[in-house]
Amino acid sequence: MATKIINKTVTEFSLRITRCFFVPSKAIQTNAALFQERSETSITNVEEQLLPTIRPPLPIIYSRKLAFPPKFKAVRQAWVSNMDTVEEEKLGLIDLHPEVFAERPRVDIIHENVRWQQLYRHVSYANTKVRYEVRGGGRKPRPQKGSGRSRHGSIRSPIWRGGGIVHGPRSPTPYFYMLSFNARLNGLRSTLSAKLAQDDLHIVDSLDIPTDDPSYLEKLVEERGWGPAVLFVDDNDIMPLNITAASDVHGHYNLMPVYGLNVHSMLKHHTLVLTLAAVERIEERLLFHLNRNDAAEAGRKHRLDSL
Amino acid sequence: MAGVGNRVLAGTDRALDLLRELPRLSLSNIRSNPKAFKRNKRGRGQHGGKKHGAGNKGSGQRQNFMRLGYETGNNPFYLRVPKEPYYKGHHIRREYPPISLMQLQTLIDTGRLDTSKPIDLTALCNTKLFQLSPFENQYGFQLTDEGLDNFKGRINIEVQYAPEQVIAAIEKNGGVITTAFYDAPSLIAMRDPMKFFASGTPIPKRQMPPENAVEYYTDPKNRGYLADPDLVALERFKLAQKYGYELPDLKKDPELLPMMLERKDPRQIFFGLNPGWLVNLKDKKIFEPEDEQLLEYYRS
Amino acid sequence: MASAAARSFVFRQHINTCRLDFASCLNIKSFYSSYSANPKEKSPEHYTQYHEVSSDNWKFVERLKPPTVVPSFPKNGSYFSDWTPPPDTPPNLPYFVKRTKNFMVPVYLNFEAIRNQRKITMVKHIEGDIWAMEKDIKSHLEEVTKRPVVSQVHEVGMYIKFRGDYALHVKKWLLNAGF
Repeated sequence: MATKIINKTVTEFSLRITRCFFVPSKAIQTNAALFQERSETSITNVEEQLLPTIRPPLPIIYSRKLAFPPKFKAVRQAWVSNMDTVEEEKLGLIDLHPEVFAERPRVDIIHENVRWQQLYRHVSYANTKVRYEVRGGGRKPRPQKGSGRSRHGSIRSPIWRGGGIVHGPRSPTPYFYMLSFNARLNGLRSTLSAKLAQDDLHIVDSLDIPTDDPSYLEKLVEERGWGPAVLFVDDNDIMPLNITAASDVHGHYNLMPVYGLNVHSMLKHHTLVLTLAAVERIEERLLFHLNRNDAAEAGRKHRLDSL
Repeated sequence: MAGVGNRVLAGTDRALDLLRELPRLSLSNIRSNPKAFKRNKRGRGQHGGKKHGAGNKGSGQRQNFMRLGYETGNNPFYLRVPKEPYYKGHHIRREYPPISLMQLQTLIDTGRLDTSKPIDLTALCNTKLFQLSPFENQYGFQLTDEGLDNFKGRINIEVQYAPEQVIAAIEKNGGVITTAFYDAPSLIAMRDPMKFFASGTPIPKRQMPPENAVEYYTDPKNRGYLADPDLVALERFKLAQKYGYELPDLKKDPELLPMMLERKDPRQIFFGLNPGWLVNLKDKKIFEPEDEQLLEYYRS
Repeated sequence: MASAAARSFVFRQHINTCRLDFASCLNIKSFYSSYSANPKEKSPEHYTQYHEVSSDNWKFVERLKPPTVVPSFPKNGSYFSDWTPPPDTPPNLPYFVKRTKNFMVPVYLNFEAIRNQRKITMVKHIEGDIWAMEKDIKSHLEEVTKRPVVSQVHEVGMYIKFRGDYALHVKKWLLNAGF
């Protein structure tokens, strides 16, 4: 893991260009639809030779307009790669907003988020019977006085063997609680920043792959040194057919729409792969919440005492 | 902050740089802050242990207490001392959350309030900096005189209460102030107009103020919305004389004049929208009923 | 959509005589707990006819829309309140204090009760060398108040707390420093 490919993410301005830039095309506002112009063929039989992908001169994208441009923070940059060949081809370099991708990585907030995700929908079904639920025990076992033995009212009282349990688990016990809005927001920011800092965040143009064969994905991930588990995130929740079929076989390649992005999944998977559309959407949503006019409204959904 | 080649590492940049050398952040190497979670220790001495603070025998341990306030026969305190009606009717009293002139000036400086349009309760609530809860007997905002000396904004403002010196401060700068009453259903509509329109209810007719407020809102000294405009003009002049400033002539600024004179009808709650109208946000249309009874009601 | 609009014109008979009070107005539009409990839609003749009002009035509805995002401050305006806009260039210091999203200086006066109520002045959103900043502010406060000042530096949360009400002093110091 020490020999990570360093030229994936750039925090200082030392660019390591593996593919030389040809005559640059004009700056294009990033739009996932623009990348449909590249001709791709989806081949079902992997034994057939994969047709070479035809691409306009590189770099295809090299500029990206940031919403709420940061005043004094250095903009982070990341390569945009492709998914249609096993070997990595860099299509360009884009800017990432530091408020989203270079936030202080608060491990305690990340822990809070993970704990919340695990606990909030947990319901404990463990149950013990209380004295009135245990079968029997309605009659006084022996008269109050005269027998010389201790006095009792019921054979199922908690001091008896086989009697009811006083403070035992009572099913169903919910462990629901809501973490505050800003804790969840900052959890996402911290995790994305940590992923980028540790070179576990990769940006691709789209999730279109040429074949639905699972071995294609395996080879791709192996070749690029992406971790055993990869989380692919796209803006749309209906993913292209090929990648859906290819990743379906393996449990460690998972597809996720942006609205499902969460701290637990990002930590569980070693590598996070975002499409350009996903990056746009994530930044748009997180920056909106950081700059929204009605901040109080954000935390109003899950109040216990509402007015 | 890290710059180009300048590795002054502190704070966030240092943290991110550290992460590059450390093992991958995963579910197995994250931790909460110390003392964030208290361990549930089921130990001895719970609830005070042994006798649980109840003592020995008697009504105390047997949890058979005398009623609260009972003084074993003599006339108890709560009956001996007569009550004073300090809080009588407190649940009916109207509340007006305050907004100081200093806050108002800050809002104008930071661009949260548009001085080129009349400022009313909706405009103040739309800044999302003030909460108004009609359910808690809050009937609008009042202006307080904090920051009175440095107030320089020229505004057409409508609040629910303003003391004399605040009225003077606003009029001195060439502004216009009105005090108006809104009943609770109108307030619910005004504090979040988009939510109200989305609910599909027609715009309500503003009701007249209750008896104990009529005197206030018909008095030109308070710039009440029900007062005679000529008397209000006279009071403006008198106030200028009292506080010793030259009353600015509103007619000198012909562009701003229509905005400054913009006032609502006593039955109106939104500028330009009549009661009884139904707003359709999705199709961007406004509908008006044709039924005679309804029209008569809304016009009265 | 048209029928939904018609549905909402239901009114009770006596509305034009009595004054609408709070509770009765809410009953006009009430949601019952189940579908069957709700009053059923009647045939169109029970509801009023309606027509569309001129579209010139739509601009008044647009006026009521609040901004979704915090509006930016007027750049070349004159500022008469205590507030000054955030600077265009950062000061040449090893630390930086970022403004809040409302462009305010992030100094807060909290009341924290550990055993007794305490006034705590808090400075948030600090970036850079936090210890250097704490030293500078502390020395300034001790100079101004001529009393020792107790402070706490929280390196993880990146905030500084001072025991006492120094909010105005700290705000002035930050504005003078150029944050």
